[in-house]
Amino acid sequence: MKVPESGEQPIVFVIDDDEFLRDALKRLFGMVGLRAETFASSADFLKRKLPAVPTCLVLDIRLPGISGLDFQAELARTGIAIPIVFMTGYGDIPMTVKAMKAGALEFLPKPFRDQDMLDAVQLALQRDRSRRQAERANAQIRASFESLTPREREVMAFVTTGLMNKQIAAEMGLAEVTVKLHRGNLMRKMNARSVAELARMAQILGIARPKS
Amino acid sequence: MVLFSAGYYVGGVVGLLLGFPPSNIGTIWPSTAVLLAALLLAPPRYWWVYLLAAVPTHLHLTVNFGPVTPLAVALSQVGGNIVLALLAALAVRSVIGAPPRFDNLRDTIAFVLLAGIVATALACALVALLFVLTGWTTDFWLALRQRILANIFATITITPLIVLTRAGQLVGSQDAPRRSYGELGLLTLGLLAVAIPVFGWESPWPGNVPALFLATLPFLLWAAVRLGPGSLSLCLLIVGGVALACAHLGRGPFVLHSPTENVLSLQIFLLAISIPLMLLAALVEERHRTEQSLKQSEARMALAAASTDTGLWQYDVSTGHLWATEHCRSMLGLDADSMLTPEAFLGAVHPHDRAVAIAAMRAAAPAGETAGQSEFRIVDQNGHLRWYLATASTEFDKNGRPVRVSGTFRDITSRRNAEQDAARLEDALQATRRELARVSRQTTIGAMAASIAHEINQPLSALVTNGGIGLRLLAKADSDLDEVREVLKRVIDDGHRASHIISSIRAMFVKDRREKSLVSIGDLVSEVLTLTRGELESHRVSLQVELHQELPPVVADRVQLQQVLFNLIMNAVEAMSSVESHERSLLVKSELHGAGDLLITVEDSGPGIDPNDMDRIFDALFTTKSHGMGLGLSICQSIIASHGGRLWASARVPHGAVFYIQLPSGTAVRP
Repeated sequence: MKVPESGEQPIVFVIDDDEFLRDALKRLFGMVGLRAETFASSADFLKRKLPAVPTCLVLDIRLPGISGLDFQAELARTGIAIPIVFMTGYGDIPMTVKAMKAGALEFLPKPFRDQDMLDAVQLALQRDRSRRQAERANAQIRASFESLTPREREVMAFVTTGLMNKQIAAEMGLAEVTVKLHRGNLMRKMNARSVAELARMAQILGIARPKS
Repeated sequence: MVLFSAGYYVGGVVGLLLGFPPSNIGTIWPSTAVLLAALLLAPPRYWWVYLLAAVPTHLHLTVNFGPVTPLAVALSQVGGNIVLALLAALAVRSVIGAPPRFDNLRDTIAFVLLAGIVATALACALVALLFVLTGWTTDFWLALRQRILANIFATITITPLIVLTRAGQLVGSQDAPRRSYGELGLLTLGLLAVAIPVFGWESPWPGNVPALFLATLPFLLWAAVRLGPGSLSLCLLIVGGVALACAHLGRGPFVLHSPTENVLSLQIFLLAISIPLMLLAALVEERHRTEQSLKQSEARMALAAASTDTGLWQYDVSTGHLWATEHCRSMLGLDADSMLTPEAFLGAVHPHDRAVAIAAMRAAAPAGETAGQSEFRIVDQNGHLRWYLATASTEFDKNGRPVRVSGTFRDITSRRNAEQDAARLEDALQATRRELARVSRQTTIGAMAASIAHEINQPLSALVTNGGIGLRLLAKADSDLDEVREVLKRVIDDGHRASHIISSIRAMFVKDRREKSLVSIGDLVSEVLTLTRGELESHRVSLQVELHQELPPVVADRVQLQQVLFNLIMNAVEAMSSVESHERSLLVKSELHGAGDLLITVEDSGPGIDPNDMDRIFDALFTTKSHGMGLGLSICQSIIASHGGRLWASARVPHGAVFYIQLPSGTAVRP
């Protein structure tokens, strides 16, 4: 199976202390065309610089050095938003609940069905892909916003709150014509086709209406 | 002082008046007795006052009432009196102590001998000698005899009377003094009523009838026996006074001969009855006091016994009389004034225990045993059941026959109840302990089960995954058979791995759980470490194992020892989970210890044990964990103890704790 965008080829990271299971999982993921990298411990994994491709983490809850749950918390703390699929040799309900609450995508008791593992990993990768796209889009918006002049940013804030040009001119003490000009420029720079789209961008950017 | 002078004076007047006129022979001389009483009552440092006062009093007395007497004679008289009183007072004070109480035989005899006879004889001999020297009289012996007899009677009656009256003992140590004074009054009246006719009236019979004197004897005996020495001396004085006065008037049974003979018979008569009666009175008083102190001591004893809830009883074998303290009777539910009889006692005993009580009584009564005790129940007045402990001891006479059986009843209800409560409590505690041990064992087994599941699921996961891969390969049209073969080989390997883990775990349980067997410490440590490996890894604990290679095996319950070691290691791991500042390290060591013992050491680098807790960590229900029942170490210790070993802990430097398991080796104990 070929992955459509070679630059976007996802990677599955596996952390488990059992060498044989690591090998089996790598082979399994390889069979469905997924690239897998395996690690014997969380420390080894942290040495690997994370690539800018969709990734997910298959994590044994019982790890040498630090428990899977603790590692999950540590990743969240350092801002690494990677979807996690947990495996456990002997999981109880409180442990499961804790993992799921902390954002685990799936919790697979060992031994698991290979299809369950593949489904969980595909779902995790999809999640990560969407997240990355959204992040990328946001980065685009942010870049556009950066290109605005201070005046244009000010006008944008008023526009996104639904004010008419006339009202904006009154608020800012400008001629209505000038406001119209700024507005045209910023809509073009932000690549926004409608005021609604601009408002959505403002929401992503976290722009609030300036105080009058 | 004034009283003394007056007494001396009056005594002198009476003495002079009662002298027989023809020869002026004094029949009684009370003044010296008064002086002696004064000396006995006064402290010695004031004696000189009384002695000095006696001289002018005596001289004045002689001049006014007596016959014409030369000064030298009068001085001899008073000197003799002073010497007598002084000698007697000194003697009595040193032998009896002052003032004498005349309440026991010894003191009274001493008084009569020292004051009445010895001192009197010496002083009178002196006076008689002086009389002869001054030419007042020529017959030394007569003067001596007259003076001695006159003084003895006065000394043995008047002196006790004054001393005892002064001490408030006129009627002896009676329980009801007011009634006794009334009795004394009646006695005095009766005595006068008899004495005056006997001594004063003309005898209806011709001739000497001294036997009539005996008519006064009952009254004197009455006084001696019932009212004591004080009253007796008063009565003797009355008799003496009446007799002398009547004789003086020429009446009574003694006026038949010459005055000298009359006086002599009268004096001898008075002495003959007063000395024995005084002794009798002293004896009676002594008995009375002894009886009283006995009663007091008995009352004290009964009180002491009652205060400890003990009843006392005594059974007189010959009379069949059963004596018991009031408390004893009330313990048996009997009225204070009802008699305690063996039947009444048995009636009070609980019907179920009657046989025991009868057996105890039989055992106590006959010869043989000197002491015995038994416990039985009675039902008290309120219907409550009470437990009594009865003790008895038997006294025997020379021939070995039982004389008396005495014993106690003690209320031991509260002790019995406490014993029963303690037994119930102990049972409950035992049951709780068993239950807790069971729960703890289950908890331990639960933890072991989790470890086992983890260890086995690891190869099974690989196996299942590889199996899935195999199927996927076969599903592909262009599959490479070598690849399929490789995957199947892996499946088989995973299966073997799982099987190996299972067999190593099985080794832990396959041995008989009940019987002890020879266990290799090395194997034991390895097996437990297999189970705890996952925990150690997940807690980032570095493990160091130092096993002595040639340790003899121990005779042990394998599973129990595994539990102990498992517990200690899990505790160490848990303790170290909070450690961030230094390495978490665990050292498990086995070595030879002393003569034939083995020592397993579990050392961690955790926070260690608080020195205050060190003594308690092996106590059941003691724990420093937020969850946990505090049973682990307590059970571990009892397991090791049941193997004849020892489990203890100590602090590790610089941090952490060390637990030691010491076990006797199998070579020391025959398997």
